[in-house]
Amino acid sequence: MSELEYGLRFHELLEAGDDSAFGPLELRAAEELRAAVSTLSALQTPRAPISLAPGLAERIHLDSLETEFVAGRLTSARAVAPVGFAARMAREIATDALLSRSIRPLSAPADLAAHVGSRIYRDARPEFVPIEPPPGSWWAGPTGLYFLVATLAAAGLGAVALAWPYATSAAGAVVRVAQGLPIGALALYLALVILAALTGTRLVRLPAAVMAGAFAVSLAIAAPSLLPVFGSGNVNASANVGAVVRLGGDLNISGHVHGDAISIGGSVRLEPGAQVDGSVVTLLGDVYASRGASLHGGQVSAVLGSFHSETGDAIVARSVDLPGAGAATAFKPLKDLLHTRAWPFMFLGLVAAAAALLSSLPGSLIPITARFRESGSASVGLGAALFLLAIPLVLVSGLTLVGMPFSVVLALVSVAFFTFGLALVDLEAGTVASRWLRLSSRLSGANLVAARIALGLLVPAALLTVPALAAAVWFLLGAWGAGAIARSLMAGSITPDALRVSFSD
Amino acid sequence: MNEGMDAALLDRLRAGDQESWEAVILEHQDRILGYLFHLEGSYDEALDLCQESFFRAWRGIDTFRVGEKLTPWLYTIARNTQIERHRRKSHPQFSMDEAHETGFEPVERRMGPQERAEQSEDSVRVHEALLTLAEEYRTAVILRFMDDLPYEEIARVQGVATGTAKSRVFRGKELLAKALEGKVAAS
Repeated sequence: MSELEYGLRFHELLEAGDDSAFGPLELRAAEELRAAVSTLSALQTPRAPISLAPGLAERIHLDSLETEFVAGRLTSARAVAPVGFAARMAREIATDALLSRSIRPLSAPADLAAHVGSRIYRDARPEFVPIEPPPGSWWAGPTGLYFLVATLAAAGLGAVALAWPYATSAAGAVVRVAQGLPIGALALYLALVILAALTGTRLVRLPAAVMAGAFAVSLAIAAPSLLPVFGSGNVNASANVGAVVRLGGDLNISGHVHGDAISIGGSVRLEPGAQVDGSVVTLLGDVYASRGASLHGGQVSAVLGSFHSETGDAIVARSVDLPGAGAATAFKPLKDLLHTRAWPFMFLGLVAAAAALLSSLPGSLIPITARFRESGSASVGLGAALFLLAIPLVLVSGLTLVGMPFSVVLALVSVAFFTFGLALVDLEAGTVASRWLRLSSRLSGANLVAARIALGLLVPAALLTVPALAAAVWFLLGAWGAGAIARSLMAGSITPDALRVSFSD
Repeated sequence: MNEGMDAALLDRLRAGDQESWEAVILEHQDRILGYLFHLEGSYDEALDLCQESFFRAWRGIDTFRVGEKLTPWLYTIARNTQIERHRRKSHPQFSMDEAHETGFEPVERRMGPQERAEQSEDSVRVHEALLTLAEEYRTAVILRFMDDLPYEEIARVQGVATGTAKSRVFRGKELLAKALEGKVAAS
């Protein structure tokens, strides 16, 4: 007997009330079944939730609509949505739309990726983590240190001995230039120093736009009085003028100058009939005195230049502080270079070399570039403050015997800082441009670095067509880069280990 | 980059290649910052957490597998970082403080005009309402609407079954709609 036949037979006997054919197992099953039936009968009918029927009905209705729709049998007359369906759907759609509008990505600071990326780069290279000098390093032991200090001291003394007469004269010349500046320009200078120092030291946190605006306004105010000073100039025969100052050009005098005649980066030519009541000073330029020119009581100083007189020293009341002819000759190539249009491009070449050197020091670049990107105003502020303060410091210390070495070193450090600052900006601008041009997929290694440097120099080179603008932009960019380097040095982020040149990277 | 990551990029990321990491961070920073902002409620905290999350991603990149999707993985790290930040208040562990010691200064910025402009009045109310939700609902809703993340990915980020993630999103939406009732035009 199959299971099904057995079940049917059991059901028949149970219905008939005939237990005689049951064995003990069937009897027990029959009793349990009867008990279960009577218990079930006693139970109350469970109640479904009120929402069950409409909910199920709605689902069945929607399901049937979907079936009809899929089968292509749905007509507009039969597509009747349940009551409240439209309102509920509209509310849900509105909520979704509101949340889609409101829960959105937030603009992260532009420098976040570069900042964290540089940190990751550094973390991935434990060799760039500050480390103690390994024992036995040439500079670690006292002998090496003494040797280094002694060499530097000897070189410093030699430089002082060589530069002393020129530096004092140069300082004097620059002081005369400062004296010739209007009081407004000096006030502007002081205001800029204070602003730059406050921002650079982060005592005041100004947005980069405010810093740039302050410098732009300062330049705009100073431009009318400063721009005419640049380049060559003439004092005509009929002219009667006060002090005359030229920067980066020759000064030809035929008339009467009641004050000093000063040229920095150019020569002074005293034509026949020229009269100068004050001093004649040139820095990196010569002084030419024609027959018939006269000087009343002043002195002639040709710093890193030479004095040529058709009448000899007789026309000069006093002529002191003149450098020796040999030294002046030694600086002649530099003077000639400064008098040509090539020198700005030569300087750009120097910046490119500095950029190449920087790019070979990836360990030191990481903290610098991070600071460069993260807070431009602080870097610009610090860089500008350093330059603006370095100028009077060089002057004042240059006038004293004790401060002379400091003056020379400070001047050299300032120039180096400015050059490397511009180089850093060059590298950063070149990197951005190369990313934009997707150069990294076409170039690699030294070629990519060279392309970045060249791209970065395009704008500074293009600006040379407008010298005054170039000077302002170069100063700001140099200050920005130099400030970033200074901040990294102050934070101790640049270690001797990081300064190890690695051209293979 | 929400496609599975290729082996070459993963190799570069594992090597700590700066440009590759910058590209990855640039692509994801806005959504991770937005996610953490809605989760945390404070822009400054979110910015700090965002940086820490990416740095942790670097530290944990070896656990990332070829073909895996980067976005959910980053969300998982961001969520864990945020949870741990709160736990850490009593038990300090890894943090950006450690990075400070090695000369790393995190980018610090208050919410500027640009960020504020992105926050409309309704957005601010939704943001406030989100902060009243329990963490599991808040995370689910943010992930769903921030990036249109599929329920499977939301489930992965939260470490729950897909059905649970789905019900958390629905329940979260219901709670939000209730909280916003009468406060914004859409609700």
